[in-house]
Amino acid sequence: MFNRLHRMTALIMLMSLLGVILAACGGGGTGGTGGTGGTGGTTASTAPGGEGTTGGAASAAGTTGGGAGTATTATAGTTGGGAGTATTATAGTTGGGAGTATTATAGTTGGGAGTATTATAGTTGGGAGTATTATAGTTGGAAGGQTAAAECPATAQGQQITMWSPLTGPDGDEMTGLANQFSQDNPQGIRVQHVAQPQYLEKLNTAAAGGALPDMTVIRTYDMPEMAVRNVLKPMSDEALSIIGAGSGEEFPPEAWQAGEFRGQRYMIPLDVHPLVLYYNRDMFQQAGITMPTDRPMTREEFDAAVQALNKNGVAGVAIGTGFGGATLFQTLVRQNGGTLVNEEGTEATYNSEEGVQALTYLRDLKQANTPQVSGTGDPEVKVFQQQRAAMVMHGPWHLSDMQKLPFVGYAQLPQFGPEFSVWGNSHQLTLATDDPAKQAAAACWIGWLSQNSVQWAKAGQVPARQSAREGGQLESVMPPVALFAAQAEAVEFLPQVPGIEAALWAQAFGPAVDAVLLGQQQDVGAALDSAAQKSNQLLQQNAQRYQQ
Amino acid sequence: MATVSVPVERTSSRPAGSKLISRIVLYTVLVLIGLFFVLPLVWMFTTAVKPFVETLQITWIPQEPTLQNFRDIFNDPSIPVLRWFLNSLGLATAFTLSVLVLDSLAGYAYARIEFPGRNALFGLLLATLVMPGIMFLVPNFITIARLNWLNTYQGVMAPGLAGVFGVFFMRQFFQGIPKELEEAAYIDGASVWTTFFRVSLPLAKGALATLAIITFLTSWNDFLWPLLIMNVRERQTLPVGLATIQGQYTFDYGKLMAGAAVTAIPVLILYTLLQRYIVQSVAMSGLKG
Repeated sequence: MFNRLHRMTALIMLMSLLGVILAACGGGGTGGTGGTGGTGGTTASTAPGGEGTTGGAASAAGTTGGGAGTATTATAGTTGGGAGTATTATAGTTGGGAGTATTATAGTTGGGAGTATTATAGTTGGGAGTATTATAGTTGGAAGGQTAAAECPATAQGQQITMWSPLTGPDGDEMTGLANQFSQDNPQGIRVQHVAQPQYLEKLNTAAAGGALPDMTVIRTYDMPEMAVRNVLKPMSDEALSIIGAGSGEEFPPEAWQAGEFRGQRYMIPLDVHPLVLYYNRDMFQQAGITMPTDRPMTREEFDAAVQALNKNGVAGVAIGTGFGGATLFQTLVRQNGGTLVNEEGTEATYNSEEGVQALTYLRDLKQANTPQVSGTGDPEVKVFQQQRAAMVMHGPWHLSDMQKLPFVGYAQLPQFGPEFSVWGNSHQLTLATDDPAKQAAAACWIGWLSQNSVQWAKAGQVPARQSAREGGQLESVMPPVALFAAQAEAVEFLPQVPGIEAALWAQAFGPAVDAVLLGQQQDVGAALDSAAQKSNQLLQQNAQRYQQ
Repeated sequence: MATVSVPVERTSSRPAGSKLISRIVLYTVLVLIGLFFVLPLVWMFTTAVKPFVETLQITWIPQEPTLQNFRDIFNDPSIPVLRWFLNSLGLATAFTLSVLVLDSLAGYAYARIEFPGRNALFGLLLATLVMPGIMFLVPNFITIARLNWLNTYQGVMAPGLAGVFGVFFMRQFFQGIPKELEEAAYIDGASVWTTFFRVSLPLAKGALATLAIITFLTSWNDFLWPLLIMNVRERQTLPVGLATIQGQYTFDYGKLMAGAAVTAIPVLILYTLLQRYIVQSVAMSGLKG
């Protein structure tokens, strides 16, 4: 019996092995609007240019502009796009590029002109003349043959950059695609090789021991301080920072930006923010006659009423899980109630407050009334929702690609349960593991480019950290639900960057306590949080000694 | 199945009716135990051919079977599954050959050849078994890095070319072979080599098969070491590669099980081919793989 089964299954599998070779199909392009570009260094005029006239701009997303001349792609400018021979002019509010600019990105007023090849992120102007890269000028680039702001220096020429990341699965493929695109397009001949690593912290640690670190990595926010203390990650040099052109983080959610700094030095540039979101069953909402607000979060009253109306016939109003799901909702609710998790120095846990007790009590009652049995790893609450046994679930945006396979799923912001609007979230950040100046410079060129083009990263379901990528309607064209989630990017609060803080608060302290309360194993909510906080304080103190400066 | 009939024979003195009942009971129990082991495999294969929506439910028979999961894995140019498969197969085969040769030679030496310090050396060797393998991870990694063998197949292979367990296992086996057989060969004028190859080794076929299976499986399933050594996607092994196609926080069970099926097939084939040796050697040595 065994033999036959094995042979049969082997045969089936071999047949399927043989039967599969298909071509991949390309993604759809984004159209855009051209417009009148900046005229050499000064602020761009808001002159005419009609809705993608000659420029071959496809679908026009801008309000006034269109492309003129030989512009091939001009995207999402409110007034401007590219003119002349500009090939790509993206996201300018007034101007794009003109002349022979090849890429003019994200200028609020101007882009590049003349022979500028890349003019990026100027608020008023880009570069002109023979500038090859004009980055991040707040008032203007340069004109007439001068180079603008910081640019990719000669030392970065031809560097090979290896980047590791924990971004396995479809996210990693998006990142590899971006890395390949940059490698092809950048005029300095920098090559970026991206490798997604499962168990990447172990990999980083072992590689550090063997002196075989990559040049840079993507890292989750709270993994940075420990890695920095152990010299796995290196601070970004002033040169690298000026190449990246992120200034002092005006374009990023302040807390996500702040999290990139450790002991007075900048280690990370935010790539994305991933907040909790609300998935709901549109069919069930329709049948119950409930409308989900689209322009704001649900209020607590609306949410409670919806849960009550939907919680019938063996369907739960909302699926509440334990583990990750329970703990992130707990954190969200504590902050929405006006409480905090830890003091500002990151030395003392504060979640065992009245706000904390209220938060956990509410969450427990919600779970007990809806999905008391749902617990364990592998996000069973999400599965319950996907099986249409629950009308709502609150979880991470990374389920987006799976959810999109299910026609009944609707997307919304997380409800506002308390007086404040706060959402649990985390962030992937870009960081360097090399301190070689040339490598840092080359990596910085890539980081700057990636940050500028991070709207593409939304395809992976993550909210781009950079404001210019979140605004101007680009997200709607790349990944509509992410545009909705993006409204929450600024509502994500981060913990102070102290080594080991997340584990000291969560995994080893309130995590188990929240689970015990949610599952009804511990009745006294206050006592559960108090003993967890005690444990946290002990761990924070130990960490402070272990990682002292 | 042949070994199972032994207890049945013992009941032959009883009346025919009770013999039938005991047979029914026996086979019921055996079928239940069999199901216990086979159901996870069945679930793996059925889930692998389910469309995404169906993977959310626990059902045994797919409503709309599809090969989409396999297509997703094999068609995506960023997922070189066949290459990973060949890497794994090549490495596991090479490991197995090297372990068989080195461990049987070493085991024979420890069992039969007298040399000064033999027992002390063997004790030292055994002592390394006590230490958890994870302890050697970083030192081994540093060695490989210094040799500039990162991202190479020899880098993956070097630390596992011979195994202490295998040496121990083969030594025990060779010690169990009656010495007289070898002495008879010596009297006929055979050298140590001839005795080893013509007399001892053929007797150890069962043990070698067991060792081969264990080694092949260990290498085939090994995750951490190849993960640490290989940073080039094309050179990764199947378990590592398949881990990279799962999301950071999400599991697509259909794809996961399609990958698991691809990983399991060679093992199932190997097991089917070597089944007789495995059963024999387990019976002989009392060891389970």
